[in-house]
Amino acid sequence: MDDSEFIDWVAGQQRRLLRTAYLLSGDVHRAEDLVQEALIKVALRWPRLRSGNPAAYARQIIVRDNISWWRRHRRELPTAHESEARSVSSDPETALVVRRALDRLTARQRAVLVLRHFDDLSERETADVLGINVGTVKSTNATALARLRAGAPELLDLIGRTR
Amino acid sequence: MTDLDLSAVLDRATDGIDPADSPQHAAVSALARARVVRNRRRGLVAGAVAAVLVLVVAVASGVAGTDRSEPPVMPAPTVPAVPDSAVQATWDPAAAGELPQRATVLPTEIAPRAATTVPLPLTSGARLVLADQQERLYLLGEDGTWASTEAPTGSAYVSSLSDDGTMLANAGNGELWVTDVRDGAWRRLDLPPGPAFMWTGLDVTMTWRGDAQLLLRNGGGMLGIVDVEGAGASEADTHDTAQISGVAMVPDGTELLFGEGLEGRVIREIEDGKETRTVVASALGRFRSPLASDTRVAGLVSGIPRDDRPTDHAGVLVLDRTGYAAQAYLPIAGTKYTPGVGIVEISANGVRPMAWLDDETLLLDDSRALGRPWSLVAWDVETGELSLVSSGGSDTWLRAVAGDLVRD
Repeated sequence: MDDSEFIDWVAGQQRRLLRTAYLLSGDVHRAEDLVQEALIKVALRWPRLRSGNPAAYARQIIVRDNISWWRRHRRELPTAHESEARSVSSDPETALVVRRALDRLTARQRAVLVLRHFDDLSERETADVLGINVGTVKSTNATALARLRAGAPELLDLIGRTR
Repeated sequence: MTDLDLSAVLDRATDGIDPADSPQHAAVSALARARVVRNRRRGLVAGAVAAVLVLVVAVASGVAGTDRSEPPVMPAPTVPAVPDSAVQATWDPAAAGELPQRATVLPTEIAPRAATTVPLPLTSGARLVLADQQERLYLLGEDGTWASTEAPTGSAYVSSLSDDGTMLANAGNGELWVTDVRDGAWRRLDLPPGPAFMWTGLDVTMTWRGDAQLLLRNGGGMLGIVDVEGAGASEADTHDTAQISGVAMVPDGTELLFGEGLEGRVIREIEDGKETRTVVASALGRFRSPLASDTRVAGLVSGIPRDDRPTDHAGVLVLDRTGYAAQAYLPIAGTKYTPGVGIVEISANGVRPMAWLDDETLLLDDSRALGRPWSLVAWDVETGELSLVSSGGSDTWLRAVAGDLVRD
């Protein structure tokens, strides 16, 4: 196995995967754990993955591990704090609003939203990561956006300011 | 709310995130951990050699030392009896079709159609494998594609998928074959010592150790190990355990052996080829078809062997991995326990555990009779809630699922 190739791949993907994991989990430390576990699983299968799309596999691991964690610990979700918001964004207010808005979603809704709107995956790619069909991606995305519109007006305000 | 707007906000909300580890350090750490996992899975000789060296050094130190007193022998901890609080309502699998539907990665109707089924290979791993009465195997790919292949042994009954769904094994008629479902080429493998039919009968169960080794348990309670790359086969080291009733792999690579030791019925934990813990489990009876998650292990028992309840139904028992205390017991209707007589072999009235959907939800196969419809049922072991996952027709029956590919 060519370690340097894997190291180069990590260098190119690590930060993006970490940002995805943070949006999914809402916790920087857990995001780091999710990414590290995903990197181990990618390393285990690197000879098979290297010529394909290892980032897609890593994202799949992160999403699924996070959903499993969420099912076990949903009652222990940490609340959003300003101090953490300052560590994840140049705009802590935006970070806090996003974090609170995403906390209103189920794990699957959150995953669809992050994969479609942050990672810019197509509906097909999102379906593949989550192991669901495209129709479910469409409906889950619509439900998630509707829930944010209804329950997170502060997010709408923010979006208005980005225009 | 447009896609562009939301994307911009999500981007801004995370623009200050930087990994705590350098990419170099994270990658090297991942590679090192991957090697440990790989070594555990393959049970490298190095681990066994190291264990032997440690033993030799310990023995030599004992001989050379002045203190010849023997260390105190600590009795193995004992699994407590199954408490009443763990026993859930008896479930009648005949009523599976009336359960509420649960959405999972699996389709609600599992039925390969001749017109859209292609020959192996698949482009990715298979979530599950079915068999028909013409000894043909049908694999459901991750992308929903159905592929089929003849069972190379001429018998589709004993077939098994690796947890990642990439490797398929088929045993029968004195032969063992394996294929990577992504290339579809079958390879015949050596069998452990002894008559070939002893390792390929209908009572044989197969457990994947990673995707490189297969553990074969036969009806006589013997355990064999086969290298899938063709490096040979042998009897497995069972660490003084006879009459193996089941073997399970924990996702972290720990192997769980269920069988008879000098202490009585035992559960042994094996890591890197070395026994790390033994628990006396006589209170559980013979534990079969075990299936482990990180925190739990589920299996079949012929009933709860207690004086006050000698005729409990056979069923599915879930143990906590910390001390192997029983957490949940699902009695299956249509079965009766007679003390001293084990009635469960590989299913309880057609019910057997197939995979963990998540840490608290077990996927059960309900295939009561060949030629009748079957179903997959999810059992929430904490709440006792049962739900219908999938239904299959009477012309096929389920042979195996890939644990990693059916998790929620």
